[in-house]
Amino acid sequence: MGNPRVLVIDDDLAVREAISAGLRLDGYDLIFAENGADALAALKRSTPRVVILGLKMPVMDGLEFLSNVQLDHSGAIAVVVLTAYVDDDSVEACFYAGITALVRKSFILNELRGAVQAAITHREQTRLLNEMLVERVAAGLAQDKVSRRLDIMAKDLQELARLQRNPSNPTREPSNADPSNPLRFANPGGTE
Amino acid sequence: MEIWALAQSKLATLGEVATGLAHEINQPLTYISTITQVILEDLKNNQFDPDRAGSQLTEAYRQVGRINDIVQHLRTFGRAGGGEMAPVDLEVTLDNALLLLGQRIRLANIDLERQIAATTPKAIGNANQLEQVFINLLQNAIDAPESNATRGNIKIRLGEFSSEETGKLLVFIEFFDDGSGIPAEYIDKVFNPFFTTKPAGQGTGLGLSTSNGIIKDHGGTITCESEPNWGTRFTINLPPEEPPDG
Repeated sequence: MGNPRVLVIDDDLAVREAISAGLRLDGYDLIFAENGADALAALKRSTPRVVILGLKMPVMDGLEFLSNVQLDHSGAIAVVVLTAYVDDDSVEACFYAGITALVRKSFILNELRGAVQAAITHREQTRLLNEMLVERVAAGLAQDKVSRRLDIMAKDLQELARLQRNPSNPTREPSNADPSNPLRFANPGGTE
Repeated sequence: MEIWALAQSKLATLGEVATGLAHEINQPLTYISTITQVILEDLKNNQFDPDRAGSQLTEAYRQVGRINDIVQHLRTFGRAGGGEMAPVDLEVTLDNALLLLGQRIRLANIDLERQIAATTPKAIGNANQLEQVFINLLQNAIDAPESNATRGNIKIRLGEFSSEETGKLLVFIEFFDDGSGIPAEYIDKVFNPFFTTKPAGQGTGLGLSTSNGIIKDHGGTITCESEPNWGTRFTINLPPEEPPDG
């Protein structure tokens, strides 16, 4: 796995340069976009682990960008919003959209570095949890399949036992198998 | 032109441009603050690179200039607006108005086109008051695009022409927007005090009447042409600076 890729979205070249200089020592593979629309195009080419997102931008602002990307709990992308605008509605909209952190401009450099690192960790943990969840669900489904198969076998055995008891009547009787346990069925040997 | 009306207009302007100005100041401040921390960190870690720091500090100083321009201009913009008439370079006055409104125009996804004739003479006027007029007209143009429009256009033309009526030379400046336009029944009312087509709370209805008063005080004229689906054009004509004798 190479250096974590971080997409920086801000309309101001000076801010993009400042973030680039600030994160230089952390060894990220930084890519840049000038607005939300450019960033959506960049996301089609590659998936960063973290997006650092400004809110006020021409063409497509940060909130519109967030509404266009799926920040679900799959952990595909973690977003750190970097903004001077921290009115209640914007903050609520950002976190409702699923961002990981919000850092105010002008920021303490280590605050931004920490937020990006935490976002990467959060994304990795979420990804691992999702993988574990998928494995468990898959295992559960497989188990369920085995159970259903055993249930069918039990019913077949029950039918064989019935035919053994009464070979002149090949008509299948209503099942009296114990539904809670497919391996146990009533009177399997035909005797009390 | 009454000073209080101009002051009201300026206050309204400052309220409307405050967010954009905060952004304009915050962006360079973010650069300066971050780069300062980066250089301090480099010094602490014995990774100071004089060449790199030199170019970063040069850029930081340029960013200080960005902030300084805005702060200096706000100080002059905030003055009462009285004062003597003097030769005014309307291009500079326009630049100052755009210093306050440029960010709003950009964030509103409006493309700005300027056509400035190279030989335009200065106009006789009060730069502070004329700037307020330009701001009022630009604010209307920013608010003009249809609500469902994704982009808009503002075109500004500055030049001179000879009046057909008097034969005298006049300086003109036009502000055109390709927005929704003003319905024909309202055209005659746009310069009336408190007339506005903006939603409640979004306009005082004083911007154009104040502008009209200022331009009349300058011995000039301001006219409005508008059509739905074409846009709106305000044209200001002002007397030029008299050329020096000899």
